[in-house]
Amino acid sequence: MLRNTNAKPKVWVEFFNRDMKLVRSEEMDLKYKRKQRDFENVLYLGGKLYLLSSFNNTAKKRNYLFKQELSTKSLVPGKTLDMVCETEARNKEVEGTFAYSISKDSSKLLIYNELPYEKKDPERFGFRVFDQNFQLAWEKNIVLPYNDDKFTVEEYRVDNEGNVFLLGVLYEDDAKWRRRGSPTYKYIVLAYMDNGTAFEEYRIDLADKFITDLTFRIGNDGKLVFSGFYSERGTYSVKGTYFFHLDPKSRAVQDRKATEFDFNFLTAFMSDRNKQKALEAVEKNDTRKAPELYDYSLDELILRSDGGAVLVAEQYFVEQENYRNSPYGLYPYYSPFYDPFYYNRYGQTQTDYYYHYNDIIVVNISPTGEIEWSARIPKRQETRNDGGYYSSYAMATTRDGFFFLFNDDSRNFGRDDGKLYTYTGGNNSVVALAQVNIKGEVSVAPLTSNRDAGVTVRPKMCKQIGKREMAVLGERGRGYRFGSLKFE
Amino acid sequence: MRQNILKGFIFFAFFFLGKNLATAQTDLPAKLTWGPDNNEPGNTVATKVIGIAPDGFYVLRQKCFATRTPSPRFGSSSSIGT
Repeated sequence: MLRNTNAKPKVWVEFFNRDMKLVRSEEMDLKYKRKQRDFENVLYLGGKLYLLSSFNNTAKKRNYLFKQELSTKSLVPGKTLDMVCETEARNKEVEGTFAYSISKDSSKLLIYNELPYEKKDPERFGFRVFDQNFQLAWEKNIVLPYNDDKFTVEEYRVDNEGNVFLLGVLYEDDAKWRRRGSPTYKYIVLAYMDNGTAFEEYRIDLADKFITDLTFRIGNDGKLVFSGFYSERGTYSVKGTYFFHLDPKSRAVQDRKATEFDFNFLTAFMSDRNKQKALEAVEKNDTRKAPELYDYSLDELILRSDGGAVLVAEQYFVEQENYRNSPYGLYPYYSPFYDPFYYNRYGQTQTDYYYHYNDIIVVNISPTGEIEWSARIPKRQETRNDGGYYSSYAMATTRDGFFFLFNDDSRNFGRDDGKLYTYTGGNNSVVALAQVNIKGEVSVAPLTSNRDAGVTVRPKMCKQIGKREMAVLGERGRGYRFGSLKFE
Repeated sequence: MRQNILKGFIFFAFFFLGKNLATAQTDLPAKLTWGPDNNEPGNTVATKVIGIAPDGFYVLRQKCFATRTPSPRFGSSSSIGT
């Protein structure tokens, strides 16, 4: 969690070798002619490192983006500061920000920025596509025929040829998500091809069903693979998967399919009583009470070589709890000691945020959109006011299946009491490794204890660095180290 | 005397169980090998693996201004029956 955007930015680039040894660490100098630039990003493009920084000229109301090449050996930025692009920005905190996407083969870079707007004015944004030497290939400012408050951009990608694809949501009325139980939004795909000279728009909906999450990837054949979840109830739950291919050349939408999850999968960790209720709801065709999965966040869409795909999602939600100060201590609102009138007397409140990262689901989808198998990895993680710093998971894809690394409570191993214990960041945590093989079978085992390792593993910062290797980051106090996790 | 022997046995049982957990990698199709320890600059956090080169990988580190110590819920039960 990084906060306080007004503070002076400080940035380092580090290089670790294959023995996980820190070879070099270099602080980036963000001053230029006595002026402080804002840090934007560091990109690895075409085997070269680039430091991107920006400067907001408040008098001219413009934001400028600069690039500097870093030496891949010394990590020192070059002395040449090149302006990559400039954009309108009335206020640097809310406008003129830049976002980046690199093509699958690392040969193209897309820099995307939203342009300032007035209320009820059309949505505007700018694209710039660069080649692997960071030379501008093409650029375009876009004005969409939708009002800014009716359209939100969800995702943007560039393919190996420099074509840009953008996925957004268009709301049909002010109700935003639903009216009389039906969805009031559509997903929209915008395709800008042939250096921005060709444009195509595709509208995606599922009639009376809610598309609750949708993402896409660009296949090796240039076709786009879309997949996500749908619900029959609303936008927070999941009933099944939605899948289709889009060929931008022929403009054809192929293999479109919505497939419901198996009843046993939806009710896998329910009590017998709740499972019986769910079964009755299904038999009565009661959509409102039929089982669905809640609060799943779609994290990964991995393309299969045959045109199919694998979806990975994790249950994630944040709980907010308010306390009021009383002379007897802080009590939550449901406590018998909670006194609502103390607010007026003392005027102090405290809010805690609980970050929940729970089960992971993996869904294998055939090239025709059928669910081949779905797997669920049981996991409970709950921590307070830390943004889930040590929660969530890291994933590696190998020829034999998928590996998931996460922090877990040690009591979940070596017992058979039917309980799933929650990781809360305590000393008795272990690093668990779950394997989902190519048949969808799940096995989970402890890899190491965080206490014995002398560090706590931070899964969000672990990354697959080879076909069968993952770099694992562990931290304790001001100490940290990387480990090499090799899959045999 | 017998009590001391029993205490000693329990201690060693826990000691070896703990060690076994730490090295319980034999059944797993994976092996974790840690690199050397490093000290990070104060109030900083690694935020991104920038890229993977043939001989290693690049990491971005930034100054942070927020808490990162996880703490459990006040008075909560930490298990869920299934």
